[in-house]
Amino acid sequence: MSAAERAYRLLLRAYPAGFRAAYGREMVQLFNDRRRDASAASARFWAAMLADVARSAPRMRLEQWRAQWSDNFHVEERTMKTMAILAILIGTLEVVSSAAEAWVGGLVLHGGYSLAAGTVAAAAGGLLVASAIAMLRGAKGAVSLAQGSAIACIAVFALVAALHPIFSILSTMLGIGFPIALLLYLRVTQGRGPSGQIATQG
Amino acid sequence: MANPRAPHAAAETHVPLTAATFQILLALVDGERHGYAIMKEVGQRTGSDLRLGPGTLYGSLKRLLEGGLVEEVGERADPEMGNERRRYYRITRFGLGVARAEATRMDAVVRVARKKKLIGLKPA
Repeated sequence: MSAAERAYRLLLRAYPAGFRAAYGREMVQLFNDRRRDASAASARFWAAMLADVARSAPRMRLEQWRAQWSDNFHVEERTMKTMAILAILIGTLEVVSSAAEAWVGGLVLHGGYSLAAGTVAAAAGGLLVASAIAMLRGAKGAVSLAQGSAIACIAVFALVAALHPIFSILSTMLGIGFPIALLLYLRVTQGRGPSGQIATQG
Repeated sequence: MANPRAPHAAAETHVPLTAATFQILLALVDGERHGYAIMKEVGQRTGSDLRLGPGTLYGSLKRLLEGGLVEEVGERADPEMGNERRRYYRITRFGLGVARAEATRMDAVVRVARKKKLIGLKPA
């Protein structure tokens, strides 16, 4: 390998690793072809090579960064949809099970307490469903609503479990566990906005 | 084989193209070429106006491949260039449509320029 080729290989480090892996060999090949053509015009040749790297490497870096950002965004979008669908399912389950367990089963044994606990738990489940629908629609304030409904769910189910447990273990675990997972997810993804348009022309 | 990620948008939505991109497509209209052959043809056609360096050429080819305008046709040795194996590229049907759309757009611009007597006049 010539000194000129070694120097050009060093210049290639300005490009993203993926681009180098895909086209590095061909770029070195083309560099050698052009060097053969340029023969004596060494300074002019190197100026052209440097200008080419200075012009194209930042663009490739920018494109790679944009693509990476876009991929991350699409993964997040899918996860957000999954979390929202789970929230709808679990929220609906909480509404139905709270009603069934507190109003139908518990009313006979615990009277007004069961009715109140069932109503509040059903309302928290309903709020979770509403916030999940808002998340799916991408509504403004959906994240805040989801956080609020998750906290409400945790508070209601934890309080009922501590004071006088009338809900089944499954209901209590879902009523506390899923909202905690939702809160953690929202905390991790908070502040990340949607990606911009990716230029495909030129 | 067409790029599966190729957008199914109309060719017209891809124009205007950059000078380098259009020249690369023009070089591929006549048949398969490797990088050096593309660079040489563009250089001969444009003189010193557009000298494609390796970064500009392969950066453009990468975008053209991703857009489904160009496809790879494998590696083989060029008999005129020794035994070194080279990767060949060819224009896709979609790429041909985009090149045609760009040429039509440029033709319209040139006709306006001629109408306004910016070009086509005999020097005084």
